[in-house]
Amino acid sequence: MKRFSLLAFAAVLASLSISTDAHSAEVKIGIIGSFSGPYAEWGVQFKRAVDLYVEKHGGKLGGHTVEVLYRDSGGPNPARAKQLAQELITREGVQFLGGMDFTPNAVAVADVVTQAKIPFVIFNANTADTTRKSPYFLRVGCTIWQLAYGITRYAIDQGKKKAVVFAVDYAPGHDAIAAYDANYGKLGGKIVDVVKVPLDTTDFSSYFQRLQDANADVLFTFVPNGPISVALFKGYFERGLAQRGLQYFGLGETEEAPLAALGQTGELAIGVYSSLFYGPHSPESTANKEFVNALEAKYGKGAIPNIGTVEAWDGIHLIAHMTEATDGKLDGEKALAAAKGYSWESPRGSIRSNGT
Amino acid sequence: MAVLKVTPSKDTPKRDIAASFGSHRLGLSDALVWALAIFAYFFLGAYHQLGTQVIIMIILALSLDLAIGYSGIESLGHAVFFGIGAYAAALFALNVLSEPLTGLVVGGLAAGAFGFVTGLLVLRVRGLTQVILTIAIGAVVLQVATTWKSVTGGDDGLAGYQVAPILGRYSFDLYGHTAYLYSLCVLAFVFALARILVNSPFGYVLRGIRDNDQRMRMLGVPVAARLLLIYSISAAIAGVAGAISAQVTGLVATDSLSFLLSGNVLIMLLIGGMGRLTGAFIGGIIFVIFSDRAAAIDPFNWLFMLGGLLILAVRFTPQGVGPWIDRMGGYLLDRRRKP
Repeated sequence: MKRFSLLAFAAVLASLSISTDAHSAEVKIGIIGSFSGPYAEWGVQFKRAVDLYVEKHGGKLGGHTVEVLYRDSGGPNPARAKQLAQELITREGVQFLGGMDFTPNAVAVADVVTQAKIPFVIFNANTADTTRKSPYFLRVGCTIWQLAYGITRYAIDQGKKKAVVFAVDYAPGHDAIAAYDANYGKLGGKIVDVVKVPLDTTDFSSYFQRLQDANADVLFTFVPNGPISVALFKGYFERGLAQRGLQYFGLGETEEAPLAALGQTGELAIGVYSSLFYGPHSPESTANKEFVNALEAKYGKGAIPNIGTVEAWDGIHLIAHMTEATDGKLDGEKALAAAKGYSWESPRGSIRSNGT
Repeated sequence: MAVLKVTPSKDTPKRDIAASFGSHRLGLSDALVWALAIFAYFFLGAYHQLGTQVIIMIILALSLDLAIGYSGIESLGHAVFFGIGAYAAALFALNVLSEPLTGLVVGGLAAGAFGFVTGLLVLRVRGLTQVILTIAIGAVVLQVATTWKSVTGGDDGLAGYQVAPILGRYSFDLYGHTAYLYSLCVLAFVFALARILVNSPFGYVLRGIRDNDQRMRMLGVPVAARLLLIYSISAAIAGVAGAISAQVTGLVATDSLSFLLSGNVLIMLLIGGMGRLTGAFIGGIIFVIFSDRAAAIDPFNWLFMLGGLLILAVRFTPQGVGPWIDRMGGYLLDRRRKP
């Protein structure tokens, strides 16, 4: 018995000492995202896209063998994100960093990447001023302003002039509120209520009640994809807010995958508008079709891409380009210079980097 | 305290007496962890970040051990004190003074004061009710931190404060060399303090209360006052751990107040062994390093591996790994003495 417990303990210790970097690659890339917990879908999509990209290029980016290290922030957790970035740089010696779903996580690593002079390709983290926090930040996502500003005009064009905003109470949510407010009022609309929800809310009933009581025509939203977006959609359908004349004008929550998870495809989703720049069926380009098919071929039928997938795909493409420019050597300045003005054909359309 | 003076008589073997006062002696596990810490400084430079996290968790687990292991106060909300210490140190650095040592004291005092106030409530009850109360207080404070954005930054976290070099000379670096030594020094100080505390008459009174509070009351011990004192001390130490975390990380977020952290630190203590101080060291080292490695090997399923480790630990070392290492050490020493 005692011997057995010794053995068990030895086995645990042995498993600890197994190192992840058994083989050495020329270029190491660290990807930080949420791989566990309620927001794990982000990590899943990041890893799918990056793995697919590296596999498609025979394990080489810019002519150099690469190793991608994935690290789990477990949701919005800035302190952990910062530690992970520090460890990837100091212990693993990565040349490029990428990933980030949540703005607070991205902002937390700004000092670290500036100090280490390592380019960080932010996949998502869409608060407008995130990229200003470090000269080594590059973002392949978008800004909330881009998404939120324009859709207000569409709402006005539909003759909807009374709105209620539902946004999560942290930096990108404040961006969304400001952007909705900036354009909608100017065009003659009126925001009658702003419902701010803490990020870790689990019971939304009182917030939904406020949406119902607002008696508005338009519901503008911002929530991160995950439990909150699913809960918001569920509440919207279950309370019959659409039938009460409250039309949904959203951003990222309107993606196919969470809708499918709710079994709410088809008729219920008709009349839900979104200003999101990407979906598996939009744009209907060859690049996007190839992308969707490649994902399905590798991961099976259920692998529907979302913005996380396409952002990671573009992110790793940009890293590949920078690797080529630096010839696989650690040179943050050269990499940034190469990224500036670089344009390429993405599944979401043609895009160009302005160097931030 | 007459109880404490045990004089060895001729027919009692010395080892037995020594064993019954085991906590007085420095066991093999004590020597091992300190040797490891110093070894890590010189030879594992790349792991100083991780080492700092380990040390912060050890300090937090030590504080919990004083409450649960020595005094029988069942707390499942110790992250509250950690978080309050962290926020206090960060706010102090942001608004008053960026000197780190003063920041530590401020963090400790803030958490200690909060421990004193909530202790008045928590210590009135025992057992399951106490556990629930500590969880409830944790939930309330977390909610306040999330909503009170102007002070805590809410879900965005609190950042943007500078921490001055320690003693005006050693500034915090990217590699965590300074942070490691800094936290190690604080740990040594906290450990020495805790050791003196638990081996003092006060410490024995606490153990008496833990085992039979009714009897201690009959002996004339002011049980409530003693418990309140140790609860405040424990809270203050947890606050110091939080303050270090705030200073070396450069930001504080609501996760430092989370129930998850309270649970994790209890698990560390379970793995290492309660009521023996060194358990915090062993549990902290195993838990943090195992989590780090497991998450690096499989970022999706590392929590599953962590669960497996816990099941193994509870099944095969129900008293924790600490006593088990000491037994092994004793066994080795005995063999050497009696060839």
